[in-house]
Amino acid sequence: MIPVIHYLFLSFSLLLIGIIGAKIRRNIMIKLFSVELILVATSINLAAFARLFGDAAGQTFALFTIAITGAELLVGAAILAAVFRRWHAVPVPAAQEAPPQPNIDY
Amino acid sequence: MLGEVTFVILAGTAIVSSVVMISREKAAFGAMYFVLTLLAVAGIFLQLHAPLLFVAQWIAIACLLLGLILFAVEVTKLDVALADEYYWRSKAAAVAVATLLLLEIVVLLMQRHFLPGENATIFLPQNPVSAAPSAGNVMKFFFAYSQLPLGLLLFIVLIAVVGIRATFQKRA
Repeated sequence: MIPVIHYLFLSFSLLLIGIIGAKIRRNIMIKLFSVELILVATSINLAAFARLFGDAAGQTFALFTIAITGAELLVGAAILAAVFRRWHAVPVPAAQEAPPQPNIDY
Repeated sequence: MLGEVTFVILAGTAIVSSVVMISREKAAFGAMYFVLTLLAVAGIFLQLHAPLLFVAQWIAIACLLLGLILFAVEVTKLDVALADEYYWRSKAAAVAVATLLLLEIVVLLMQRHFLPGENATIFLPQNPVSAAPSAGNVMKFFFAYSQLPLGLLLFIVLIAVVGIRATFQKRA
């Protein structure tokens, strides 16, 4: 049996990498992945303590964390796609203005 | 022995791929290394006698959602807009993180080889105090003692409502 401290070190490493990635990167997708990495570290902690104490609650909450991670990833990507599409559409109205109509007297 | 070797391989894969993920320039490559991290963590869940977490991690995230993420990255072309990122900062951060992790591993090995016992686990029992919870126990806790299924159902309904609203707003 591998001691729990090894799992805690792994979890701490992933947490550290996630925090650093979320702090220093400017690419919004990498920031999103880094936040997901923090949640993965959390679920490792929950699973390790569930194994240590033989409690089903830890695995249940880890399951819930994984579901939240997936939903956040999906919703975050959808929001980013929508915002980015709108972002590109912002300067467009100036170019899409209707051409000046000629003055025609009927 | 085999368990320790497996743990070292999986943990090393998770750490290295996550370091590479935060140091990649393009988000699509970062997503691929993120998939690798999630798969390694899924293996660690299996090693922790948590087959439900393994299945959830492997199916729900690595296989299903990351495809959508890659699709979103490709569609939105985020990398094009963020081409002015200061790439050297990412490289420097990756080197710093790798150094920290190497130090951490060295300290761990030193502790294991030269110190009696493991001082860091002084507040934790060395071995599991009881058997690992079975999948049946987890599902019983999941369905009987908590309202998590209801919460997940409400969350899915919320996403569906927002999606329907956005779709009809776009058509209008």
